[in-house]
Amino acid sequence: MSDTATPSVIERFETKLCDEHAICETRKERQGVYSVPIAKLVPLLRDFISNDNARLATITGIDVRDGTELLYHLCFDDHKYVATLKVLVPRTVDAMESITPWLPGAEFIEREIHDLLGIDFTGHPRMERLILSDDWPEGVYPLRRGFKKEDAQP
Amino acid sequence: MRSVSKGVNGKRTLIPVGPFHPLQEEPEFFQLWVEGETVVDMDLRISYNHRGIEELSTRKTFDQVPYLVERVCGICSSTHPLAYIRAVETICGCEVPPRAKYQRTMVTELERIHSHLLWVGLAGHFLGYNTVFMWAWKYREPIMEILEKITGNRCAYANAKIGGVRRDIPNELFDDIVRAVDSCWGPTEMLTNAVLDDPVLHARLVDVATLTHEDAIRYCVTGPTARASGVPIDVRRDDPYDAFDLVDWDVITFPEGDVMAKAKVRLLETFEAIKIVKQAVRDCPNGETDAGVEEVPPGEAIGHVEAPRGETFHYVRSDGGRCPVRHKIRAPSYVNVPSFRASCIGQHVADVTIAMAAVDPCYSCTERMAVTKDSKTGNELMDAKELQELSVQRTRWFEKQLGIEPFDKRWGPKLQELLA
Repeated sequence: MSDTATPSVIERFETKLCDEHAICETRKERQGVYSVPIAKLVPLLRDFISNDNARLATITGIDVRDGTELLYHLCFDDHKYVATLKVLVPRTVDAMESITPWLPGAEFIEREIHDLLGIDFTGHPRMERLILSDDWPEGVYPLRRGFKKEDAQP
Repeated sequence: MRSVSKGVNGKRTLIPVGPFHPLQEEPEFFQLWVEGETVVDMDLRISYNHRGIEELSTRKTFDQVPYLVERVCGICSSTHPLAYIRAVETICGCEVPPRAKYQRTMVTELERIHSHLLWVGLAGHFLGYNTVFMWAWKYREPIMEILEKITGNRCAYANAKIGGVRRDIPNELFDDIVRAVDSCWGPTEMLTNAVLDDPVLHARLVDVATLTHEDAIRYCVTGPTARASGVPIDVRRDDPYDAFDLVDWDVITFPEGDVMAKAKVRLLETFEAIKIVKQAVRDCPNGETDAGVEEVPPGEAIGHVEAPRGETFHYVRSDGGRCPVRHKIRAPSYVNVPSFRASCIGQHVADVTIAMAAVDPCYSCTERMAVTKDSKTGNELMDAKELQELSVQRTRWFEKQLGIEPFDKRWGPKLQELLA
């Protein structure tokens, strides 16, 4: 059993990403972060999950200056590699195509990001409250930078 | 919350399980819709006790965060800090000294042994075999005691830190560790044989709540839940950390996907964990236990480790300051629990307790909930205790049908023999 990621597979994976104008931001021995154009993300995810045996570990949402960064963590378990695909959702859009219709494992995390960061996942079958209580006020997102406790009074 | 659907001729009953008890670390609220004795739909609501740990973590310094995240879960309290520490160590690019690697391996595997034995006990309790519950928890006790001896605590061990371990385990205690895990081997073997040979358990567990291979992949499940559905993933092998690539052990998988397969995976994994601990003790070299990390440079990385319930996944982003800018935590039950929708619908309602327990969602305290009435429909509702009672009745029914004595009568003498 070798200790490093399988190079040929990772090369093929990176070629696929480069063809879609993704930029490698960080590359460590067994993990990497790639910035992906927002329109290309879902087709790429679908390709990696159905053809390359990748597994979606989770999605991280981060509130940054120009909008929300979504980080899709893909584990290539057969090849000892974890790839993070990063997209920036502009504040003016605040919406992203849902992947739950073809990957039910993403249902919870998409609902969580909707609750905490206010990203609307279009096409999600059940975009309902998961983390926040039912009487939490609309339009108040606790993981955004500008969140104040006073806004959260029901 | 989804409203109660009407169902065929209005005979659909709602069974709520949960939402929570303060002693339970993962409050969950299951709503089962049943028609007759068959579960036709289910819904799940979480976050009744949301603690905001991800946000809290960004207000702690890098060195303080492990103490915070080990309180995410009382049973997985060595794996959460380890996943975080792996992420930070990747950002720093530091190399952990070998002695620290072996010692971390010992503690995580001891944790796996006690967690799996805890599960066996709970599974026995849900099936009406309270003797199994007592036995399994008794054999788990030496492991808890040795953990207290080597780390200072029965849970929340605080043994790992960025760059190594916080406190060295002295070589004099290594013999005690071997003695503790050896004391577990016999009873675990007995429990395994009991599960594999018992006709009532076969009737209750085989082909119950099957999670198919395809559903396991679609729901992105991890850990024993995935391995029992023939998905051979294990972070310890797929992204080796600490000393897991330096010791000899096997990934246990079964293709069936039913509750029996999940039980077999956990029981056989306990033996693998015992083997790993003994090898780690044997091979642990002398030397430094701390790489002496001074500061965390800007960067971002993920860290994941195999907790007893599956993959614990952490993401950390640093801007070069004293605290993480973002820290994302995904515990294994977060992906395993939603797979109920694939495995429980269509099942007998008495099988649902064990089917839910099969993914080990830290579920021990829900039977203390009061009986409630649904204010909208006025339905008489069942609580978790009644649900468990149903499960016990089903076991008794099978015992009667098969014409055999209760479990403890059959296995008690063998166990006494073994202990003598």
